[in-house]
Amino acid sequence: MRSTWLLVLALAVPSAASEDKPGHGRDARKEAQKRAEKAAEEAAEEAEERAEETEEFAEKLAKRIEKGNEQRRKDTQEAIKDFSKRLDDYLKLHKQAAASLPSLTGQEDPATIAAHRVALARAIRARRGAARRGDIFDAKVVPTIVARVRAELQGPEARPARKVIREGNPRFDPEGYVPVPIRINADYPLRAPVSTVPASVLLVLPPLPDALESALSDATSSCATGRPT
Amino acid sequence: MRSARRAATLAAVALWGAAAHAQTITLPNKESSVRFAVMGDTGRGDTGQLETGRMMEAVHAKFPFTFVVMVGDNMYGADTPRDYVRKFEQPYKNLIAKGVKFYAALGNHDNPNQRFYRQFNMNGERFYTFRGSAGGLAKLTEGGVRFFAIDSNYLDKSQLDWLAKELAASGSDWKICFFHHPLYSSGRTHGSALETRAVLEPIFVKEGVSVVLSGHDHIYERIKPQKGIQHFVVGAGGSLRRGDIRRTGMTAKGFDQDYTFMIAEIDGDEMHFQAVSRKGETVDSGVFNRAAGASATSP
Repeated sequence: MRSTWLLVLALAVPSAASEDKPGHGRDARKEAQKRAEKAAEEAAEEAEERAEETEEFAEKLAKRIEKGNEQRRKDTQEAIKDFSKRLDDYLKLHKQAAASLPSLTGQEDPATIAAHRVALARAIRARRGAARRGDIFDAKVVPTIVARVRAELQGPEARPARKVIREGNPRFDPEGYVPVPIRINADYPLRAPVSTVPASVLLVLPPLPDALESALSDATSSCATGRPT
Repeated sequence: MRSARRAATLAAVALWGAAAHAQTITLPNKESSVRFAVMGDTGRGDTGQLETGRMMEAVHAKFPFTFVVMVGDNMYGADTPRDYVRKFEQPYKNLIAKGVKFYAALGNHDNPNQRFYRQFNMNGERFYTFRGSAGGLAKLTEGGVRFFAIDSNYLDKSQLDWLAKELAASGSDWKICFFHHPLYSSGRTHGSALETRAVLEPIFVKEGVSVVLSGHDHIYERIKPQKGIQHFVVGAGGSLRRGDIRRTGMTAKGFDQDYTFMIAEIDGDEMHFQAVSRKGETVDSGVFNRAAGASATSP
């Protein structure tokens, strides 16, 4: 494959974190606090559930690494577990940001959806203003992920998967090229299509919480695809 | 003034012509059956989509389908509130006013936030299921017709687990899956999504899916039954690639010369279908039996 594919963390999609509607004054503050506490509890529960899944995944991956390379096995397992913890922290932040807004139920009009998207992005940015590249994808986990993606996309048998990635990728889309700037906390351009992520690749990547999705980006054209908020 | 009158006359003739074509409904059109329409790759807000929407209205007057299945790319480009009006609400204004429901799946040009849009009836979910047949509270284990909307952009483990579980739990006679990327397509631009097929087809075969509806390629194509499943590509509801169908040997019927949508009717073990062009021509029609391994016959 000529171009290099990078994994980027997309801004998470909004979740219906609470059934409650916002109130006014003190009641509203109490409600917001309740929602935030509930969101934190949910995030903790989800993190616990996923820890087991991550453990299983890390073990499977470690088994694939050649015997005798004990240190590499341990490093890989550690890198994935640490990565998973960082994702949990991000998810907690996301849930708290979502809990500070009225929840979406699926019965909204376009103006409400658009306003929610902007407000959620703003709330997430406010909570991770100091975020830097490598905070989540650190130097230890990146080689593991890149190796997994590369292994799945190499060779003639991976041709269908490579084709899938081009489907909807902003660089290759027949509808025309829409640049997607890769920046921390950036919006995904509304006009850009979303690259399909092959199921075969998803199955070999570390499991993600429901509110987060993997996305593939074409680094050579400085554009990325992600799941927009 | 004269030219305005002439234009009005021409428009009236054009509308009459379209309506006259649209009166040719080949389906049984029984009140007791499940009647629906399918459209894909619609969301452009241009003339092609508007005219196709008008033809759907004309067809609806004769064949009152109760809901429309949207197989993705519901909103190309931006999706501001104004875009929702221009690319969806305006083209299908009269159908919406008549109470026709729309059920959407996400395409690669769709912002996942569309799942919160009330007119798309996704209830905030990327993937979901709904009952197509009438009859009280929709219980998963009842017979009848059930649709499964899949997000083919992102087939992660949680979605695949959900799909396998829901299909297995469903006691519906008809299980119909719809999503954007076609498992089989003779479209030159995209063609068959082989990777997606490798993941989804075994589940469909195991759980007795009868029909698969998809889009992505901007053509109409009925595929020869594959492993007992009838596949349709209905991706020319608002986008068109003329001459895009190539010879593959798997086409039962293909049409790539105009915008199209499909109407369908499920009556017991039979599904009748009719693909209609923007001008009201019937470009394909036929019937197949669920129990007979989806071998379609055209009248």
